[in-house]
Amino acid sequence: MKIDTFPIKGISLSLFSIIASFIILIYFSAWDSTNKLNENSNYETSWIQEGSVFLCPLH
Amino acid sequence: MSITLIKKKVSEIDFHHYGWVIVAVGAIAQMIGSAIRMAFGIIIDPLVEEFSWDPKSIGIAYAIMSIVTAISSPIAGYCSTIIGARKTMYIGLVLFLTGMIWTALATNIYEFYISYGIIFGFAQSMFLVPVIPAVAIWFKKSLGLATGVIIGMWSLGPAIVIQLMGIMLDSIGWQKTFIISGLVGSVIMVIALAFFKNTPQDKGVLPYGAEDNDNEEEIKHEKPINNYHLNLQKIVYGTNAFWSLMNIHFLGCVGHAVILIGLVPLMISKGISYTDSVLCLTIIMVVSISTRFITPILGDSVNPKTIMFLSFLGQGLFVIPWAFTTDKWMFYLVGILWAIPYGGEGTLFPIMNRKYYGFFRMDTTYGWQILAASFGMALGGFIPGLVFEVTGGYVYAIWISAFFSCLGACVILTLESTKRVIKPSFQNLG
Repeated sequence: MKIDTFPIKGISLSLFSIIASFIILIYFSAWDSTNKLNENSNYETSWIQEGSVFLCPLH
Repeated sequence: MSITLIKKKVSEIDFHHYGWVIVAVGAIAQMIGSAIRMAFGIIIDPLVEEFSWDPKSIGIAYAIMSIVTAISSPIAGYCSTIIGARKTMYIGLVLFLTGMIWTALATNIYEFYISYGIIFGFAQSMFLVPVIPAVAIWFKKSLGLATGVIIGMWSLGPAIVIQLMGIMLDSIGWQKTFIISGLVGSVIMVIALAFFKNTPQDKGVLPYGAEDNDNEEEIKHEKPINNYHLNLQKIVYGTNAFWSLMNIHFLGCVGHAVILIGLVPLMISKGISYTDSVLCLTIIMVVSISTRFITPILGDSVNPKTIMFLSFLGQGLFVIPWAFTTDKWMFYLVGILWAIPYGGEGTLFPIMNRKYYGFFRMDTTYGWQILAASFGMALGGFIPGLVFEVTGGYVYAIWISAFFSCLGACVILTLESTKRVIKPSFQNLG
């Protein structure tokens, strides 16, 4: 088995999984927030909801 | 073929070796450690009734416990490497007893967060992390069978303990149940740990399957902590396999946590009764016990990478029919099919560690893998609720589960062959 000085493949794939997890969370959180805002324009969003809407290009 | 292979393996085993006593102690520790997590479900209603706390606030204690267990797992692994598995489990035992009694006596929610969330969180990692690596040191051969027995107890143990605690709860109340369970569990563990030895050298025997003339290099693993172990761990951190196995454990746990949390609500949302939905989950648990036991044995004998790949792929693909069906029997049939790869998915990590890194102390490495798995379980447990909030259903959650499991299968394909170990490069580390 090969010993790397820096395990680039393993760390890159781990980062990919973390980013994929955040993308899914941001997408659904943004969807949830826009649903709530559409139902009630006075709805007070939390910083997480605001952040997810800001970050998600689809909402 | 696999049944014949397992029968042959079992018939060749020497059950008189002291390593099997270590397996028995490990199985008891697993039962008690995993019961901590499972006991939560049965105390929610009594807490709501007695203190009028809302279930959401009580649920925060479970989240705290999961996060503390995740973060403390590498610490527990490191502790086990430095002071040995036995002392680490004694620390876990003290925390377990303190947590059980304190939880029973808690009078406000913050006390409950500390006693159940923080104390139990640490107790669980101190109990669960050192067991498999300790067994690995005792078994040079037949590690698959030894870990299969212990991992099988992850499912069977809580089922027995929860039934007992449920009966006690009905007759003597939740507080006395916690205190008595804590005391009885502690006494059992003290007796069991009296038989526990960290290494075969402590008992004056060779590891199971080792020969008298085995490489002297390997004997270093049985000695107390020295530079060799710490330097070896640094090399492990520098391998792709270390990061990829953590990643794979995370992805697999997201994949099945979504199903374990979301399956019953999904079935109910499709018009199936609560009782029938819970029965489907029970079928999954029962079927998965057998594959938890069999998979490490198969992996040890055949090729663990291939078995792990098939398990992840099966876990990912077999959930898809649930997205389309509304038929109860179809849910059951798919549940049986899904339980086979699900049971095998998480059980091969000790075998993979052994194949990649040889006969070494895997405590710290295994601790990091448990950290990744715990975060995966936390994320997977959160997704069904979020998806339901947005879509009013759980079908998207099924697809997310399939995505994570199949991504795990893809990462497995990037792993190097398990046929060669890193060991030749471990020389001159002392």
